[in-house]
Formats: sequence, structure tokens, C-alpha cells
Amino acid sequence: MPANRPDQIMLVETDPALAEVLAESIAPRLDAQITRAASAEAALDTDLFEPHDAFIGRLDLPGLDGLELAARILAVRRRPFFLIGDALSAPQAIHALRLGVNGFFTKPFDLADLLDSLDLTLYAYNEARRQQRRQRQLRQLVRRVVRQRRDLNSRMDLICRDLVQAHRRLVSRVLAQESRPRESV
Amino acid sequence: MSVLTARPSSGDSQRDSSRVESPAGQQQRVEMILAQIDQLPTLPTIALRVLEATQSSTSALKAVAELISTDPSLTARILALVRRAHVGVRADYLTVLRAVVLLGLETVRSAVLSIKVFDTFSALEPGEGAAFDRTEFWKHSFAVACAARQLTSQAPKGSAARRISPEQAFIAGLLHDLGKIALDACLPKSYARVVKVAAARRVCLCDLEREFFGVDHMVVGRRLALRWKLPSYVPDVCWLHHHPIDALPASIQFPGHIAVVHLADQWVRRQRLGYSGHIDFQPLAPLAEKAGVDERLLDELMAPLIEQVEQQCAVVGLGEVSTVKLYNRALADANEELSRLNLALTQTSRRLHVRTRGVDAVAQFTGRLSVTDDLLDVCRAAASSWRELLSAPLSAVFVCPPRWGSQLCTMAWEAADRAGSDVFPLPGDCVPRATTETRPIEPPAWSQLILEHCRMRNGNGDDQSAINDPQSPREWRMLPIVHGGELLGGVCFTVSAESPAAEERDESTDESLLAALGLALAGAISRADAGRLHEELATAHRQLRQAQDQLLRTRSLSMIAEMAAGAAHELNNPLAVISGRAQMLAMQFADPQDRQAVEVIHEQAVRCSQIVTELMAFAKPASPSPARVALSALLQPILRQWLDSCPLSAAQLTWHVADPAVTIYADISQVTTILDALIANALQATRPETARVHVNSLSRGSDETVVISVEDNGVGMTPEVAEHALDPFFSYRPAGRGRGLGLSKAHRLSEINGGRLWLESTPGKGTTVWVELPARPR
Repeated sequence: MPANRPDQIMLVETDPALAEVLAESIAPRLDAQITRAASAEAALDTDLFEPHDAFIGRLDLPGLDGLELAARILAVRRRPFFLIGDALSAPQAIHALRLGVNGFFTKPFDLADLLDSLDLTLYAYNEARRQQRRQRQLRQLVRRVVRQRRDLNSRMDLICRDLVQAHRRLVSRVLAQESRPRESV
Repeated sequence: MSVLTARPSSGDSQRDSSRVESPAGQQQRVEMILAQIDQLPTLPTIALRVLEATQSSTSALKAVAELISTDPSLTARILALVRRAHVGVRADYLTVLRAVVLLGLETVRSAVLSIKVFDTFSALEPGEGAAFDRTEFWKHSFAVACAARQLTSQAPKGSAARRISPEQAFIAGLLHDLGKIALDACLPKSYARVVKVAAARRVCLCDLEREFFGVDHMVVGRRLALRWKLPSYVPDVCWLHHHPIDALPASIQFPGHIAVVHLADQWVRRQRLGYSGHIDFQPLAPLAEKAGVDERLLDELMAPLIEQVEQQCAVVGLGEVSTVKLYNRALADANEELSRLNLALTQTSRRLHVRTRGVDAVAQFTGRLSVTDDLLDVCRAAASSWRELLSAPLSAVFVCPPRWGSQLCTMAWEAADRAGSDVFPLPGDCVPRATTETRPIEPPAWSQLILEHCRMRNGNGDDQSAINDPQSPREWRMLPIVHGGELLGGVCFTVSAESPAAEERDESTDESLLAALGLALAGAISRADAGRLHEELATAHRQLRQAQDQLLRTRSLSMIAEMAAGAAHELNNPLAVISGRAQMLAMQFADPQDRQAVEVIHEQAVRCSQIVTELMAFAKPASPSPARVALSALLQPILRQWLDSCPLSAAQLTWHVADPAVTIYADISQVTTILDALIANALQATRPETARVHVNSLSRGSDETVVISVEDNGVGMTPEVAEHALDPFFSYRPAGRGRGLGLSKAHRLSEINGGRLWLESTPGKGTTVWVELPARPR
């Protein structure tokens, strides 16, 4: 897995103009690759074959709404998920928090704020992933060292045994040599 | 049949007990009566034989004399008759044969017949207490017989009457009412009743006989005459002597006999000789004409007739009847009849007089009314009319219609020199219960009430002496006024003991005036009801109009709100695009001026979006989640916050909570929004340096609701502005100072919390806005 692969962000928004504004502002700033979807169902299908690193979803979508989409996406794996919309009622907000949605942005957006939040969350997410990856490599290394040491030990044991046997043979041969000259005298 | 005839009295009582019977039963009863008639003793043989012997002109006088001689009593009476008729005859020289010769066969025949018939019925004389006076009956019969004989003998030569033998006429007249005495002999008790009832009711005896027995004396008489084998004209006369001559069947053999007897009967009735049982008189002239008798002859009839009747009575032994006595008796009867008629006339006249008074009173009462009279006017007219009708010292008419709860009494009273009317509530125990009879009532709570009102109206107690005078005790009476089965009220009046009107009163008069009163009062009550209904209808109509206006307003408001919500939703996306593009441009621009320009775009887009959001919040407010909270705990933080944030001092922004314990039941955040909006509205209408804003609260409607008022001394509103002050986006302030959603939002929130909001404003003085909220869950 290449280390500095650009982030894959899925943008689910029905209004193409708004989607374009968001894509154009997010992609250069976060150095990310934006995938656009016009519905929750399309987004889920795409994510199935090509997992994305983060999601920006509109709250009121045709068919499955934004909260439903968040529930399904986040059930697969925890990823940054942002909701955008007109307004969020208190029950909706509580539901979103429980699902693990990272933020909600009301239209019209303060782009700087939105990009900062997105960048920060993605960075934190990526960092967390990088840390996880490093930990995993370390654990593999340790396991290999342990295994090599165990091999070495067994080899040492074999050598020692051979040495003991050779010594025993030598002793017996020495003892045999000492008894023969006496006869020749 | 034999059982019944053997005990005639039992059959008699049986008939009395069952008057109403089926036609078959009646027929059977008639047959029973006729069977009883048949059971009467037959005429003595001697009478029949004398009749036979005298039938032919060739009859030997000697044979007749011998026949009479066989009956000693008959002999004695015939001889007495001769002595009476021929005064000169010497007694010792008189034999039966000589008497027969002197009298003539015809006279002997009629004498024998009358004596024997009389004797036959004398044997059946009923006991004491019989109403049917036989003496009077016989007098009538003899009178008719003598009159008929007289008429035929004196009729002009060649006339129809002259062709009838006088003695036949005599017999026909004598026996024409044979049925009466036969009925009396058979059914003495029943016939006595018939006679009594006929006298009391003053109706014809024949009709009552038919009513009681099913047969009359004519039919019975004919039957008996046939059975006795009397000469053949006798049954016809018995049967048809009341029949109009013109209507006689052609087969009748002796119309002349019938006509003569009819005329004689009528004439004797007029002279009131004896008892005939009939009270109807027919004009004599046509009867006389039909009988072929000169009418003038009748006038000469009286004097000889009385003598003859006297003679006949003596013959049959009917007691000593003198001519003078007969005259006197006839005169006394006539006088009695006259005085009875006079009495009846006087009574009728008095009754008519009283009724006329009643009708006059009703007419007067009706005349006093007009179409527009209300209940009091009608009561007043009624009291006055009633007092005039009765000449009562005091009369009062009260009405308490049941459907008005019977507690509100409308009363009008009138005394000799004053009158008054009143509407007053009655104490519960004093509601008059009108009785259905005019019994005197105790001077009761009721009349005391009337007196009380009289006293109150007159102002002093002196006038009451006339009404309350113990020296002239009066009776209080009360009559109910009923109309259509509903007791509307009553008439109360005093009747002094010496009041002459009291005797002249007639119940029907009272009733007719009461009915008129009831009608008029019911009309007035209906009018009052109609008036009341009309007012209620007008009120309901007004309320309906208001409700309709409100509904229209609410509907248009909610339509606007729906539209606004939809529009707002659609607006947000383009606004987001605009602001997004502006921000992207701002990032790219290096020049601060350019950057500022695009930032303005972003800011305005954000402002637009805020308006849109507010609009959506107004159009679709979140459903309230109400909680019960102490009003003071809710108010204080809000007002403290306003004190901190606005330029007003604590003396300018004041509040007062009447009862610290009072609570409201509403969504707290929405109530906060309402109060914020109201205070903001008050502050915007005032100038900071002179502003005074006061928040007050009080409980209303037995603690059901709490009313919070926000009062300011700002510029106020004109009525036109105040009318639209609660409409969204309506602002009377200069443009740009607010979006005009504050009051309408507060209004809408108070409504969805189960309350309401209204305001009062005076231009230049200030505005007060009230919010009413529920105090507890409903």
C-alpha cells in the first residue's frame, strides 16, 4: 500500500452546482480524490467495490436519507462522515452523534470552517491508521526475531550434543592409545 | 217463555239492567214484552157478548137487557147511568130493558165496554208509588172519547166525520191509549220510570217507550185490541192515532176514525184534561180539516165535554169528579206549565246575561291588546279585564312559563284606584303552583308577595288599608292559566263576601276569558322567545363571522407558511452555491478590495439564509414539549438577560408576578421565545431614554390560565396597524429595522401551546400585549 496515496472522499449531494463547489474547494486543499454520488444507494454501491476514506452526505436525500447512509457506512468501518443540510432537529442531532457522525454543516457553508474540520478529521484518521499500520509491522518483526532465536537455540543444542559426542570419542581413543605402548615396551 | 211470563217482575228487572243490547237481543225483548201483554186477562165474556149482540141493528133489545141482567154490577152501573142521563125517570119504574131502550144500543155498548175495560185494569192496579196516574189517564181517555163522539155527532152533514157512528168514535177515543195502561199493568216499575223520565226530560212518552222497551204503546195497544177481538177499527186507532193522516197507508180501513181520534186527542191535550204523557201540540186547523170537522166546532166543545167526562167517570166509578174540579185542575196544570216555562226562561236569560258579560270581557281584553304588546302589557290588560269581569277589589295576573325555569315571574296587578306591574324572581319555595280548581287559598306566601309588591309600588302603607282591611274579610282565589296543556301562570283575585258579582259568575265565562288570557299570554311568551332567539341568532351569526374570519386568516396564514417553507428550502441550495463560490473566489484573490467584495456576497447570502431559516421556523414550528414551570422562575432569567443586554435601567424595565406560586404549562423554550419577541417589540417601539416596559402576570378563570402582559409607553399603533400587527412580515417600522416576524411568531407559538395572544394599542400612548397560557395540563 503506497504511503502517500491521495484520500478518497465520497460526496453525496443531489444539487450538481453545490457538489461542484464543494468538490472544487475540497480537492485541491486536502489533496484528495472526490467521488460524487447523487443518492445514498449509489454511494453504498460504489463504496462496496472501492472503499472510501471519508464521506460528506446531504441530510435530506431521496430514498435513504443522510442519517441512514451514515449508519450503513459506519457499520462497515469507522470513517470520517460529515452531514450537510438546512437544519438539524434535536432528535436528529442526538441520533447522528450516536452513529458517530463527525460533524454537521448548515447551508450556506463557511468553506474555511468546513475544510478545516474535514482536513483535521482526515489527518487524525490517517494518523490513526498510520499508527495502526506501524504497530502491526512491529508486531510482525518481534514475532520473526523470536522465531529466529528459537531456531538458533535448537541449532546450538545440536552442536553442543555433537561436541559432547566427539569429546567422548576422543577420550575413548586416547584411552585406547595409552594402553597399546605398554605392550610394545 | 212460560217461565218468563209466569214471573213478569223478574223479566222487568232484567230489562232494566241491560239497556244496551244487540238488535237480535232487542227483538227478543220486544217479543217477551208482547208475550206478557198476551198474558193479560182477557176482556170478560159478557162484554164481548154485549158487543156481539149490539153489533146488528136487528138485535133484540130484550136479549141485550138479559145479558146485562146476568152481571149485577154491570146492571147497577147501567141503571145509574140512566138515572144520571134521564133525571125524570122514576127509580121504581126502571128496569134493565127500559134502561137499554132509553139509552139506545150504541150507548149501552160503549158503556159496557168502558166499564169492563176499566174493571179489567182496575184488577191489575199496581201498589203505592206508581208514577202512572190511572185516574188522570182515564180522564184523558174519557175526554178524548167524549170529544170524538161530540165531533162526529155535530159534524156537518155529508162530511167524513159525519159518516162515523158517534158511539164508534167514542169507543175508539176511549181505547186509543190502551197500550199505555197495558204496559203499566205488565211492567209497572219500568213504566213508572219511563213516565218519570219523560216528565223530567220533557220529551214525548212514545220515544222513551221505544228507548226503554223497544216497543211503544201504539203497537202494544193494537196487539191487545186484536187479542181481545175488539171491533176492527179499534186496533187501527190504537196503532195509528199518532200517525199523520196524509201518510196513512191506503189499505187502512178506517182513516176517518183515526183522523177524528187524532184531532180529539190533540184538542184534549190542549185543554189539559187528564194525563196524556205528551207535551207536543200540533196546530188544530189542519187536523180538523182532514177529519172533516169545522174548526169552530172545537170552541163549542168544552162546556158539554166536561159534563160528559164527569158522567162517564161516575159510570165507571172513578170517584166524584165535579165539573168545577175538572176546570180547576185543567187551569192549575196549565199554570204549572206556564210557571215552569217562565222559570226556565229566567234561568236561560240570566245565563245568557252572564255569558254576555264574559264575551264582553273577552272582547274588551282583546281590544286592549296590540300586536306589539310584550308580556307585561298583556298581563296588565289581563288583570284589568279580570277585575272588571268579577268586580273584584284586587286582581293580579302572573306568568312564570315553565320553559323559563319558572323562577322569573312577570306579574301585573290592578286594584280599585291603582295598578302596577313587575318582573321579579320568586324564592324557590314561593313558586306559585296554580291549582285546577277555584278553591279558596290561604293568604299565603303568594298573596303576601303580591301585597308586598303593591306596598312597594305605592310607597306608603296607608293605601293598603283598603286591601288589607281586616273588617272586610276577603277570599283569595286563584285560577290557572293553561294553554296547549302547559301551565303558564295564574290569575289571583280577591272576592269579598258581599260581592254581588260572585253569585253571577259562570264557570264557562271564566273559562272563556282564561282561554283568551292563555292564548294572549302564550302569544306574548312566544314573541318574547322569538325576540330572544333573534338576539341569540344575531350573536351566533356575529360569532360565526368572527370564527370564519379567523379561519380564513389561519388558512391563508398556513398556506403562506407552507409556501414560505417550500420556497425557503429551495432557496438554501442556490444560496449555498453563491456563498461557496464567493468564498472560493476570496481565497484566490490576492487584492484585499476584491476579497472584501466577494466576502460581502458571502455575508448577504448568509443573511438571506437566516431569513429563510426564520421563515421556516415560523411556518413549521417544532411541536411543543410542554412542562409545568413556575412563572417567576421563568421570567426572572429572561428579564435579567434583557437588563444586561439592553440600554434600559432596572427602573425602566420592571416586572411583577402577582402570585409567586403560579405556574404555566407550556414549552419553556417557546415561551422564552415569545417573551423575548414581546420585549424586543416593546423596546423597538420606544426610545431608550424615555422607555418604560412593564411585565405583569395574573391568574385568570379560576386559575385555569395565566395572562402575561407586556406594556410599553412607545409610539403605539393606529387601529389599522394594530389590526395587522400579528400578520407575518408586517412591520409598521421603517424598512430595515426588523423582519416583522416577532409578534406573529409569538402569536403562533402561544397558539400551539394552547394559549392566545392579543394586543391593545393607542397611538402616542403605547401598546400592551397579552399572552394567555394554560396554567396546568388540560
